[in-house]
Amino acid sequence: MTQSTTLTLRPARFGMLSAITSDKGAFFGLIVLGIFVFAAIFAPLIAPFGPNEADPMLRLGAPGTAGHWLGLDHQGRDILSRLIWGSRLTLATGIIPVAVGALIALPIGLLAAWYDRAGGWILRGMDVLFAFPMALLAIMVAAFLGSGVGNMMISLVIVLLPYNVRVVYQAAVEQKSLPYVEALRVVGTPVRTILFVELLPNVASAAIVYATTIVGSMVITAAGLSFLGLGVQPPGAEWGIMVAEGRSVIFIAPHVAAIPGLCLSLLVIACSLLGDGVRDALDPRIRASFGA
Amino acid sequence: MSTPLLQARGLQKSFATGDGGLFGQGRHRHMAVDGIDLAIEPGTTLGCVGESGSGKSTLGRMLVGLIEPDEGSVTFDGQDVAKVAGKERAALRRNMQVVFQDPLLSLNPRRTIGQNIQRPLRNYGVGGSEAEDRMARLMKMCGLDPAQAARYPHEISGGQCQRVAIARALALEPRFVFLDEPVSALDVSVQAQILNLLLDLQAELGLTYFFVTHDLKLIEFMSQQVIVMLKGSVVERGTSAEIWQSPKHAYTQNLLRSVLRLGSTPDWARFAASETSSVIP
Ligand SMILES: Nc1ncnc2c1ncn2[C@@H]1O[C@H](COP(=O)(O)OP(=O)(O)OP(=O)(O)O)[C@@H](O)[C@H]1O
Ligand SMILES: [Mg+2]
Repeated sequence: MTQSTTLTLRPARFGMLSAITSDKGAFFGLIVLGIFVFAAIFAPLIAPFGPNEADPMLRLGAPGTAGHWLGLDHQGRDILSRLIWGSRLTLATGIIPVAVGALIALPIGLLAAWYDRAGGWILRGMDVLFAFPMALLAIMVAAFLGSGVGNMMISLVIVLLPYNVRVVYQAAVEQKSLPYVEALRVVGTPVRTILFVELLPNVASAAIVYATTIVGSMVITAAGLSFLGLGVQPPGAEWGIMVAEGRSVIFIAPHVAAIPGLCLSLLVIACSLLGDGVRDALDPRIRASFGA
Repeated sequence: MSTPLLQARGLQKSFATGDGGLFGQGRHRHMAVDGIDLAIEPGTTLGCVGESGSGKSTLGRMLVGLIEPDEGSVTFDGQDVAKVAGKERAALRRNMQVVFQDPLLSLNPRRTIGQNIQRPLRNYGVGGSEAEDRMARLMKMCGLDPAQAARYPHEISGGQCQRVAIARALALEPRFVFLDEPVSALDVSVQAQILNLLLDLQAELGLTYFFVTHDLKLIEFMSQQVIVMLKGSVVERGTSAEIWQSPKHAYTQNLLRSVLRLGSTPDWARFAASETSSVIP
């Protein structure tokens, strides 16, 4: 068969991995993210000091201070150690709300796409949330719920919901109009099976791609909330907090704010590069161009 | 003359067009199907020909219950489809299946062709090795190699996709199949293979077809009775020989002339012989 030989016969998963590794940007993103995740998981083993272990004698020590590669902050805490410990909360606040938000949005978006009338009302409701700028809404919800890491994550999920639902809804509406959905109905497939068994994987890829692209902005928003005292409370280690604390000494010891700030930027860039790569890899037409 | 398997009376369907404006002032209703009667004898094919947008698919969708008619009724095997409900309705519906125009798009792209074929079986509680066995039998019946079950739709050819779609349509052992331009998306060389497969299956299983096409050439090959549609109405009906040899309506004459102008006189005996039936290509 001529047609079958022109396309890759390998399972989609391998095609996707090779597509990501052959995309330089996505590969870079994957490596950076991998390092951060490694640091978060093995923090107790690799961090030279505890997150709040201080040596007041060496306060504001510059990078290169003996035993403290990246210097020390205003309380004399080792910045490298705080970065390593802080990667836990930073990644968690960036990734967990995004993942939970996508999970909640999947059924809502699918149902809204299937049932036109109910869907109209659901989207109308989401538009109300859309009317607020994302950061402002996050601040309002977090302030309403009270400070704390858990409440901050809840507020991020709520803030993200309209975006996630839109993405799922759009993908589901697109799928719903394809003939295979009509074919599923003809052979007596119950609506719940059509939505949650047959359509779900086809729609989830859109949600996954979107999620990877917003992890970065979630980390920034979470850092912003922590900065405002609504998220992680000092002396907790989190990159956003570290930037905030470094603010007061920015002119005498810029490295205290700059180093965690740089890490935040790297994380955001890595996530968006990886997101772009995943998007391309999930598109079979683009993937085919990578060759098998 | 036996009693028809499928009968439709006064079928009507309109769609809203235009966005309707804020107060619905701009809304119009467009008659897609405007009062159609038809009857199909068991084991035969009713061909339906007409230009794009004449309402052929809408008519077929109403026949199999994919959309509800605004007016009129569909009777299957003596039962008014609209009057049965619940389990009986599901039992009726599994007797009416569809093969769609675009074979690739009518299969779930993220499922293997085996999973696509097994979907109807699982819907009716057949699973495990029994579903596997029946899938393999259906694939063989439709000229597919069961070893291909693990492939994805985009990995096989259009003709093979259409065989998969036919296998899926037959999984529930229907008595009636609506063929909505089943070959118009395929290469001419593959068209004859699929049409011959459909004819073989009809003979073997006693299937009744409603065969839609905008290609008059295919009608005589496939069907005993023919309706010609124009703007939602039937403008001519008769046996396919009647339509082919002495079209009454000006529209049919035009259709026929355009076919004859495009190619030589059709030689169906040769067309049929050029393909060795449903053997795997
Ligand atoms: N779901 C729908 N909503 C609105 N209008 C529709 C819908 N389905 C069909 N129509 C309209 O009804 C008319 C008949 O459509 P239909 O698909 O039945 O035509 P057809 O004869 O099958 O055409 P084709 O040969 O292009 O498949 C067209 O004008 C079409 O735009
Ligand atoms: Mg059509």
